[in-house]
Amino acid sequence: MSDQLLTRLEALGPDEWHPEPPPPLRLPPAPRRRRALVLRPLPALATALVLLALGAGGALVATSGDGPRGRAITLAPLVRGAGAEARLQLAGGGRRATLVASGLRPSRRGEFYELWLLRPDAELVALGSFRVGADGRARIQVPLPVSPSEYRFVDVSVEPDDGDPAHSTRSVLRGRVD
Amino acid sequence: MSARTRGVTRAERRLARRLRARDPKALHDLHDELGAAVFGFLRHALRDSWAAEDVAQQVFLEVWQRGGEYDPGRASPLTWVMTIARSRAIDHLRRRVPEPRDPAGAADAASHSELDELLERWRLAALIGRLPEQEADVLRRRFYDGRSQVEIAADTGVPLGTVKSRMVSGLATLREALSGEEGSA
Repeated sequence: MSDQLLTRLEALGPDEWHPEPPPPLRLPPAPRRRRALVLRPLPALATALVLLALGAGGALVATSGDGPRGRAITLAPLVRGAGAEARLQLAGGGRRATLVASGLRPSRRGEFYELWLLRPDAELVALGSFRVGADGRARIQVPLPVSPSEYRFVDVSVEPDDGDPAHSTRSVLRGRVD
Repeated sequence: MSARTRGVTRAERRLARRLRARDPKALHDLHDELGAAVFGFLRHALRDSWAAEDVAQQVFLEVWQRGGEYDPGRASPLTWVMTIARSRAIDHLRRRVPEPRDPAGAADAASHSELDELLERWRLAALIGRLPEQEADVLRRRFYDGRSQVEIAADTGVPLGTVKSRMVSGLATLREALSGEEGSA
């Protein structure tokens, strides 16, 4: 046992002898207490009328202009509890898309984020790169050179600024293209 | 993990009670004690500091969520937390190759035996971190810097007898802790 311990101590490297401090602990926020919903007839009727009016207005807006808005793909973090999220809104008949993301880690020097389309039997398609500021948010619009419906996943990865166009394998968000 | 019980310290019982009661300070104390070992293990296992930060956060989130299940009779806090870290490291390695390309390939890249070896190194590092600083310093100088006890005494100005007693005490504490840990692994 003692020899084993000495051997194990001698085998430790600089990182084990001088460990780096861990990142600070982030606890999830405590769940909010739910308020009981009490339905009162008159306020409920008034609210229903307002919602009806807003709904009708909303429908007019949604169908005006360039036509119906395209569908959206929701991206979720690959690491459970990571807290990031994003939504890719398709537009222009599937010729362009807008990614709106939040909760991402601010970009570090020498790194950027990249948006991809993935499919089992084809090369990945890089749609565009972006950086994230201190607020953890990003909004980018990208052209779509291919139809997303031909791909299975939308993916956001962290890429080192090393000139290598391949996927780094460090995916942070992913959504299924249904 | 075996079903047999191990020698449980009062501090471990208290920690289990605090985790069951969802005392956030219990989690912070555990993070203060084991955070560096968990993060160090993950940095080496995943070879990616960024991912290690996220997965370390995920490990302590799981400790928080599963705190009520922690049974000190079955494992020390160190063994329990490092086992969770190992599982999450494997999950991450399996997942990080962009799907739907071969999802099994990444886990093979860092073999399980390699992970186990890393885990043992970081468990020992965590135990060293619990030693009184003077004892840890003597062990560091002896086993990392390769200095003899006489040289350590000369370098630090501490009497040779004190250097020897700190080393004996540090090694004895580590042996005792390791035998307790290995009984629970």
